[in-house]
Amino acid sequence: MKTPSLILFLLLTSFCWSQQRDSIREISYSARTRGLFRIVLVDKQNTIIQTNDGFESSETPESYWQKLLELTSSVSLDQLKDLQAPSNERARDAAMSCKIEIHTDYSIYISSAFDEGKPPMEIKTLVTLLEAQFPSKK
Amino acid sequence: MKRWNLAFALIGLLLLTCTSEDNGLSSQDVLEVDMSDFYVQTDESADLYKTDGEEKNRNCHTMAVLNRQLQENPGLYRKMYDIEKHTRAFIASKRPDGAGNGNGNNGGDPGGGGGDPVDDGLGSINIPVYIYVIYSNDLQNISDQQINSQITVLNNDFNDTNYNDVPAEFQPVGADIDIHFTLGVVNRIYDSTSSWGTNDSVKSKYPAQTGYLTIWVCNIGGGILGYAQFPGGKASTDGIVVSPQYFGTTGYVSAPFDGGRTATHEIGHWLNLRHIWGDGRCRQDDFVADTPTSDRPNYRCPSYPTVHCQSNDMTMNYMDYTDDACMNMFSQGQKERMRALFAAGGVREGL
Repeated sequence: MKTPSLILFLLLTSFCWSQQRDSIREISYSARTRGLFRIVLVDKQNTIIQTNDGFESSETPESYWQKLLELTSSVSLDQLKDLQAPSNERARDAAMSCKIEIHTDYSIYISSAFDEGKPPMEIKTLVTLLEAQFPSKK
Repeated sequence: MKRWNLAFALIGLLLLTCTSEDNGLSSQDVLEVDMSDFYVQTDESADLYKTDGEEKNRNCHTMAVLNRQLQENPGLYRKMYDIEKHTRAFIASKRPDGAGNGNGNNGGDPGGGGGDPVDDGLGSINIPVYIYVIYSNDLQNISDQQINSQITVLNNDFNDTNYNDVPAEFQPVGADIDIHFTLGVVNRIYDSTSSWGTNDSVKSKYPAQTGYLTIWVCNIGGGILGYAQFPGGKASTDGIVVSPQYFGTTGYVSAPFDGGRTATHEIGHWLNLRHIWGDGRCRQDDFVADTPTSDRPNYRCPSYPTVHCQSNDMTMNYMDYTDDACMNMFSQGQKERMRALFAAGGVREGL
């Protein structure tokens, strides 16, 4: 009986340990369809925007990064891949297909796909904040 | 003590029966599937074919998902569900051994394809085409020559008999769809609207024509090349919309989408084809067995092989997102899906 308890204890502690140290390094949002793409990638230092028209890099304001982290903390990273999109216009090419990616020290979490402008409720504020980085939306 | 053991055994047995009849798809699969209201799910339709004895197993997971979807969009979902059912039943009935007919999805092959080509007995199918050219400037009022170049592409793409130009592994499944397109009417209309978006506003002003495949050639805007309507939607909006720059191969066209493949792709949707990657993760299928599983579209001109979900993507399939010059095939399974719509009782039987 002792050995399983010990293993369980070790597992739990190592789990908590890794959770504690796994911090977010970068957050990105992409919208794509045939012939068109928009990607914004943000980390603590830089914000990179890539579209069909080109590539643009700027410094990430500290307040913006903090706001992103705050919004991300209310999202369950493990469930990102299972979020249900409220609409499916992308299946007939009538909307761009979007997703967000969150890179931590140890993992990459990728959301399920959703139509542009209609993200799942759970990540709506986060997506809106990321989308606002695109030049046309500023 | 014995009684307790018996109780546990019974509970275990109950749990086991609940999950064991999923044809290899656990409840996890259904929940993970990234689809919204009108995306008809593979295993739900497969459940329809189960015998009464297996009926109760459906309650494990399927009905919950189905109920939600029906609630969100009852009319359309129901229609697409029926079309999907009809498609599968028809394909199964045409298989020499009757595989898949009346007895579930026969080992995870619900979408058809992958086996020997099926003779559906429908022969050559002809589709008359009605084209609206809705223009706000002279460039958008495309020439007859440009329109004809698109019709030529459609007839080539849907009647391809030579698949030597695709990788060897895909050659056996390359299909001659045997659907012909005849230009019926070209209706040119000036309209001051400069971009129409994807909310069907162009269709409410200029409705679809019964007895035709209606194509609206108008500036969509926002970088969208074209969009389609799946079978089962409203008759007045049935058809495809393509921006003039991506229609045909000559005149007011814009590379790399100047090969007429936007219309081929959209007509694929109009004929019930899903995107080849299934619009989701690896396990979400396009309902076609002979197209490889993938979890994403491909863009531009990918090199071969391009591997996703542990198999080579069929990046040259018209239902991927690659450039016009880099797509050149439909598969046998896709052919079966498209043509099933024209069978007796099929949604496009009347054409």
